[in-house]
Amino acid sequence: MTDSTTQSRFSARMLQAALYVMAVIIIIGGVVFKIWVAGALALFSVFMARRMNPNKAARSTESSIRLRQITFAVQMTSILAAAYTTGLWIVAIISILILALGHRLAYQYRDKPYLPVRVAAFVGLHLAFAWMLFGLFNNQPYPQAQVAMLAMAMVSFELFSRFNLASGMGIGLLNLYVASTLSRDVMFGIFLLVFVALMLAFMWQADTEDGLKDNPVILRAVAPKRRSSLKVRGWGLRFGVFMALLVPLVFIVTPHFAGYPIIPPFSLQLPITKRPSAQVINPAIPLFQATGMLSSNESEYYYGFSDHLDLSYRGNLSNTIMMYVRSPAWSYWRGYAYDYFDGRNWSQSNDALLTFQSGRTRRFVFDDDVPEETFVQTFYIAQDMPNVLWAGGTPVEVFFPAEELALDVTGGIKIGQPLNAGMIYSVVSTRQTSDPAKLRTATGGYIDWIKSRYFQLPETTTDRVRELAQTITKDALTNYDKVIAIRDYLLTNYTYDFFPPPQAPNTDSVDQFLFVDRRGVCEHFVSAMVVLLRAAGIPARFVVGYGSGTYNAITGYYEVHANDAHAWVEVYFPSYEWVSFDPTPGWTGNPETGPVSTWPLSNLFASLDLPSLPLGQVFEAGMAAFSVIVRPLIALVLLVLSVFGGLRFRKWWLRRNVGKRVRHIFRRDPARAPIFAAYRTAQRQLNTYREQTQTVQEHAATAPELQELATLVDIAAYRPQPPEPSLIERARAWRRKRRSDW
Amino acid sequence: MPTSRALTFLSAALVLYLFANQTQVGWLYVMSALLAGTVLAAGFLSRGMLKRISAERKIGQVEMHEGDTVSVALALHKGQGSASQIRLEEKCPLVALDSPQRAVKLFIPSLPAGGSVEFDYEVLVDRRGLHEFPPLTLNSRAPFGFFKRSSVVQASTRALVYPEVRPLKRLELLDKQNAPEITRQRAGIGYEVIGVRPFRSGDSSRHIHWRSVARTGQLMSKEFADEAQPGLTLVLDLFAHPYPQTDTKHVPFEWMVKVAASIADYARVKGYPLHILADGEVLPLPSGAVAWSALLQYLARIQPSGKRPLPEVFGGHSTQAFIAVVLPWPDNEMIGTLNNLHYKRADVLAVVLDPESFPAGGTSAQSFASSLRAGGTDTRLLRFGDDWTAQLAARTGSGVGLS
Repeated sequence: MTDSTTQSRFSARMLQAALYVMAVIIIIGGVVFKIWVAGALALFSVFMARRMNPNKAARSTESSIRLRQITFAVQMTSILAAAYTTGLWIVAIISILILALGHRLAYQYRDKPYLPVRVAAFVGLHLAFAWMLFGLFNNQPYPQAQVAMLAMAMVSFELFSRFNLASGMGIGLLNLYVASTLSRDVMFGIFLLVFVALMLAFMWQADTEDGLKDNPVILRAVAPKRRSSLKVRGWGLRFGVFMALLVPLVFIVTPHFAGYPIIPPFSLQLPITKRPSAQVINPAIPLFQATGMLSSNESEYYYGFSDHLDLSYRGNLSNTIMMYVRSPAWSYWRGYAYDYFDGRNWSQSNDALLTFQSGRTRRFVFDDDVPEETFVQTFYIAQDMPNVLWAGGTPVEVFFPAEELALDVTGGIKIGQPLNAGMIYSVVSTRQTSDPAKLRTATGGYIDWIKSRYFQLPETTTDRVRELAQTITKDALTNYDKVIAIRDYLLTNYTYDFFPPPQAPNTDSVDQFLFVDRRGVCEHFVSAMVVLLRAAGIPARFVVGYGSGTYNAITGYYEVHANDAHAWVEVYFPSYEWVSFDPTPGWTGNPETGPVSTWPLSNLFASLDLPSLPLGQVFEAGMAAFSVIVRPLIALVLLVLSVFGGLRFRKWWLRRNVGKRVRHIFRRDPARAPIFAAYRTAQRQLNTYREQTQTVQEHAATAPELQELATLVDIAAYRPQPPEPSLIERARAWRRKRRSDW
Repeated sequence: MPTSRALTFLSAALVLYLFANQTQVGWLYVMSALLAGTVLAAGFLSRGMLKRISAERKIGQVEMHEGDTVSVALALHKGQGSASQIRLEEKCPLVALDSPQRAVKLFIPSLPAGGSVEFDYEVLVDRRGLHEFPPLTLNSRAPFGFFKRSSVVQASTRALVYPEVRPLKRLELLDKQNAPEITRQRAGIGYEVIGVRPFRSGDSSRHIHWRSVARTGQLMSKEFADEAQPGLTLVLDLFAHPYPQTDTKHVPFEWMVKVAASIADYARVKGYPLHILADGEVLPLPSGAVAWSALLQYLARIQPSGKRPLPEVFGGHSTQAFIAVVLPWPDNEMIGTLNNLHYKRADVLAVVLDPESFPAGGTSAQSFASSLRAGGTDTRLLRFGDDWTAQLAARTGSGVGLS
């Protein structure tokens, strides 16, 4: 039995033992937290551990070059996928180079693993993790992707057996997993397909090689009279057709449920230290604001995302993706609301803020007693955006890299600086839904702060606008019915037009929209509805944010474009607070949060309350501890390296003396050199070196492949006459053959 | 049957699905579907992998004797659809039990639609008897090793192996008088058919042997024995004596068959009609004089499973002028029976095999042989390892090979 076989078996036993320990921990955890599913998962993992590769042959040394080449290609594909997704091309190139070296050395030393290489790989693996920890606290881009690529490359030095190669591909799958969580591009699918195709090629090749190896008689097919190569090719074609049908089918029929993230959706970027500001800071300021002119210029920035919104502005928004949102439920992504209207501009009447502190967990809790079902949305900011956190539903928790954030008086979440491209944050919200029957019964008086802010009408409001409000709602019995009547009136009697006529000077914008232009954009519809509602005695406000965007079922993201910027109405109902309505044609009239598909595992980890764990503190404490021990550690490593280097130097020195004698022979008779060179190369390639106590022939007896060369070496070393050219050519041919084998 | 590889893939797909639900990452759903879809597609494809495969086996010789070298050709043909990575085992019952050719593992990397593979090999036939090749069991894990499929292909082939026949230089029992006259032209004189020969002009059409005509494609006439000609009765002890259980073919019973075949061969060459006397309850006994091929087929099949002891078999049966008794077991009851025949002036040769000398051991036949000799019966005691053809050929009293 070889050393590597013993070690592989040892590793497998260790792995199985680790799985058992993990299973026991999960079972205990399952009992403690009353999560029966965790126990089931644990039992499953034990079952898999028992079944895991009982094939002993898979643990013996793998000599197939073709299988190693395929494994290398599989792992390289996963690295390229990660690089394509993250743009970390330099790390990818370094990883691929290390990977190639790892595969080369793992093959060369497959029978007798070389300790220095293993030590170096072990140290390298830990350096890769240290690099990730360093990256976590130094704003490195995608530290998890970096460690995934580098760690896989480091582990490639240990690919000795078939089992190791399969594990290497499993690590490639993990790498691909990391890349998939970061990918928002359908091109990623090509890497997936190549990865799976190479894995299948590996299995095909392995099965064929096993068949050839295990069976003494190989029967080759006699070609039929009518060549059926087309049918042979058709075999792959049929498999491709099956795949093309079954993969989408599985994708479609498997339900997509909501879940509570196992790892809390906190962001690992440098925290924002600026205090939140009530003022909306739009990165596009000065905003492109065309007043009344038709312009073909497109902007990424909605002029509504500001301290005030001027209804006389016109403009077009581009199709640039502003952010990606991962959410189990459809929703509008709300920013904040305006409560004050002067006939032309909307603004906030009060800039008071309610601030929240996060501590080290970067978790902000607005409401810690939420009986309703929640859902988690994660926002990936693609373009610089205002200092507003967008959120679907009613936010109850926010995970954001800031020490402080605040709620304004309209429920908008404000931060201290604009959102930068690349930032990630998550929001836990309750669904915003409404029941018309209940809303119809929502009667009662309004509290003072509602009365003071949300019944306000500008002095420019004309009588015909007030009369129109009365006319529309005269048949409605309840406030809810009045809201629906006004919304439907706007939806059916007015048209959406991105470029309505310019706002006339000294006129009320709502009046012009309702009675003159009769067309406009969402701001006009929303302004009109809010004014009509207030005129009818119903408190309402003007909300800005983004529509849901386009859902990409492949990536699982809502892709929110600049032209998804939108405005809608929130109406206050006593006991039910604010309910959203949208009077703009072409949008949904009732923008409540969509349904969330849940299953028993959805809240599996919610009861663990992982977000409350001070992970940041743990990391920082770890780094502090690391900084304390780093100097002694470096000294220890240097000591070990110097001892090891000294031993290597001594060995080299001793060989050097032998080498001197050999070189003397070469100088005297250079014709002998090629044979010795071939012999040295052969020893290196076969990884079997002659001991000083062995003769060449004794050594060859332990390695039959060296027998021919040993005879040539004896001739070259001991025969007074130089070897004939034919013998030299035989040695060279042997060397060439071995090289081509590799 | 799904393999552990399929379970691993499906488990990975399940884990990815769980993570996809936890994280809402769309690509994880895609990866999960890709892994599961791959297993399903492979499962669908593997279903027809081993279907429509036929097998045919041919043996080079029609007539084969124990010890002959024969060639066997196995051919597999695939009908519609291609197959890959097929493993099978060719189990050859003709060779010795410990021969590596007893079960040869074969691998077919690829078998395209309409294609075929052939496996030709030569074997040394180890034992007489009726041997049957078992059906072929094909296994394949293609494509990609997710499912293991098996299929049994009927390629059962029967082979009747005749016993080994060693030519004897002489046999005193049959050499005591001149060779008998051959009766081949004497159609219509006798009644017992002893063989067939090509039809000659003048032969009665009633004597045409139609089964031989059907087999050979030419007219064949029956040969009749001359009733006046003395014949040889070959007496075989088929009784199920308590032989020791053993796998070796070197047992007294097998030697009895060989010796009997060799004696019969000598008689055939000398032109003596052959008769067999044995327990016919298990395997029907040919009646009257038997043809050579019928004798070989009979000797190829007999087993020590008779229900009646040999002395009982003798009772009530007439014998020919010459009697050769081959005894694999020293049954003392036979001493009186054989000596009685001798007293009746019958020419009897008793060939006694000594079980004690064989690898499996047994009772010594020395005293049994001595008793026979004492009664005047010409007795040859054969021991394992001896040149038994020389012993049979030795003259009585010459001392050569007699013990």
